[in-house]
Amino acid sequence: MWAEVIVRTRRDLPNNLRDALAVHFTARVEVRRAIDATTWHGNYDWEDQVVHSHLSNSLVFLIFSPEVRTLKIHVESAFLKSDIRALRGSVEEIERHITQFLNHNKNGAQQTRVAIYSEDNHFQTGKKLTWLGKLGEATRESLLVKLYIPIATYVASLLMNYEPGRAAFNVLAALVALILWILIDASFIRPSFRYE
Amino acid sequence: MKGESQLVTTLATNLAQRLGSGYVVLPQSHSSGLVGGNPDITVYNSNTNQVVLVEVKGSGLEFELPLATLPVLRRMRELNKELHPKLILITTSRVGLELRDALLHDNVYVLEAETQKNVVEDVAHIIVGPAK
Repeated sequence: MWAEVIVRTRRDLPNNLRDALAVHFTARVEVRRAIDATTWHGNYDWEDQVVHSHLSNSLVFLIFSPEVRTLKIHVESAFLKSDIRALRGSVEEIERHITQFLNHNKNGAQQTRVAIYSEDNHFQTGKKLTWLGKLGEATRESLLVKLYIPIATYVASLLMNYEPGRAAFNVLAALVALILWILIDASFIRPSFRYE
Repeated sequence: MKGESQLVTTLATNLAQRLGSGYVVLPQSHSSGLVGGNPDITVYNSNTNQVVLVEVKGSGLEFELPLATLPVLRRMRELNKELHPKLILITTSRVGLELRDALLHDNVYVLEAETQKNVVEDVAHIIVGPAK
């Protein structure tokens, strides 16, 4: 199981892309070692096209740059080759690094997309969500529960002999807590990619 | 993917009709598993013993085939090397320039599936030559 992350950037990538990536990802490994830990095993004729390679205990990736505004990153889990959760986790990690790298170079991603393959079969596609996209998803998710909480708070408050005004205040407090949770979910918890 | 398996089924049926007797067209009936190596369609010419392996890939024109299609196809050729097969890649996705060059260098025929009718004719052309 492996993934290919395609990042289209807003501006041209640095001329010295290899050096720039080597500075950002300090833990560089010999390209052939990384190639041999992937489905590219033994295909050294593409060694020159790898602008950066990485191999750690958890993940291995090869970065290609077929043109001046595109990065293609081949990603695999280092050991748990059949674990899709581990692979998605690796994709998230790399995407974070690439975003930092682009920001550091006064660049940004115009579009980021990931395709997950089980050897030769494409079975999932992930599209990177913006913060607003994540906020929208966090709001829509379990919408019934989100509607239920303020109503239940109001009814429970009345049953506990609260004044209607005080019960409404409790509803307001519940809504604020709910909105805060949605913001926390969108900002820190929700994965960056939506898979289909 | 569903579209891909439908294309394989239709292609195998139409190809068998187009090639006629003397050729055996075998669609793949199971997954190629973790290591890959099994083509979607195998065409065997009983007169010449020529084997053609047809691999169908892609998820539509909004996607580009991944670079790792190359090692996957190389592995397929390696695992079937005793058959000295011709290799045909049919794709419904776009093929990047660098991948296309590498596949051509590896003597893999790359066909972009615009219409199924054309694909059958193109595959038949590679196997037996132009229609009479």
